[in-house]
Amino acid sequence: MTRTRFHTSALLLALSFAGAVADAAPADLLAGYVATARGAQPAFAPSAVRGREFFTSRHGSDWSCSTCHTQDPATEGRHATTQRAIAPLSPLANPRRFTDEARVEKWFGRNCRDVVGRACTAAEKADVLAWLAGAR
Amino acid sequence: MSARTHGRKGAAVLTLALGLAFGSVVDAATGDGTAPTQVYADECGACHVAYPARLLRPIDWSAILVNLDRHYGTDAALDAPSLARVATALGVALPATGAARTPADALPRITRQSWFVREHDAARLARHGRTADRLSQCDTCHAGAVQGRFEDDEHEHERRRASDDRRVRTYERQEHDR
Repeated sequence: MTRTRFHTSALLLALSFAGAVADAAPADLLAGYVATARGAQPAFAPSAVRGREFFTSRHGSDWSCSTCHTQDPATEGRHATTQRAIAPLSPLANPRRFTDEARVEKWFGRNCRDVVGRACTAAEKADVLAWLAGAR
Repeated sequence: MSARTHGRKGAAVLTLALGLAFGSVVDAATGDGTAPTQVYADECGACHVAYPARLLRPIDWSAILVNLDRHYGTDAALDAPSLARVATALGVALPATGAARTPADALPRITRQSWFVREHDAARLARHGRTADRLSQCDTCHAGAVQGRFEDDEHEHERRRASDDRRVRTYERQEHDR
């Protein structure tokens, strides 16, 4: 029993270690956006389906998020103006994504103003992140 | 010592190791102590070649820096510490807050500088299968562009050739006048 417990805890430890490197930070960021969103909508739960819809819609402007990032976040994108390659957004495809809050906020800030014409809400960021984090 | 204690100890060690690892990542990412040239390469090079400062006049770079929130059709706003480092990297004074805004369509463009237009005329672009509408990514044609090198290419060869031609012509003229 003790031995089994040890193996179990070792396995959990290994998983949490692997998880920490790949997606603990995205999960923390998501939790932060969800908490903020619940300030306005107490029943808010992030939705990958809504996130995908948001990501691929043009919101009345020329561009959607997917114009540069493509409709598949696990693949490389291309800047619509400069044609520069953009590394995949999905943390599963690119473990460096969503590991640095300042960087995430900087790009949400810039890109939401470009695509949506305003800052994105915490609920919108949570939805998008919920979708991106599960996209393989 | 029970296996459980081993597990806890392991967890503590791992937590410490992870904390250290993430700590260093965060330090590097927030730009604290990051060299201006590195900030310029990271921030501006994310979307296009981090163009060498010499390709525009300092006054042009200043105009670009005060208008980063409407940067040729996209929002490229930077936080104040990053903006200061980018200004340093470009060798220009950081524009004062509230400095005059240039109309968005009048922002300086490298591709509209007379030397650039001369060196990228339609005939030359056509020879390389290029058109004039996507010239912001220098490294498509100039292999050394990201490192700020444009000399190892056709232009330099042509400049040398032109210079040689001038020398020959001068020589011939001198010979003729003699």
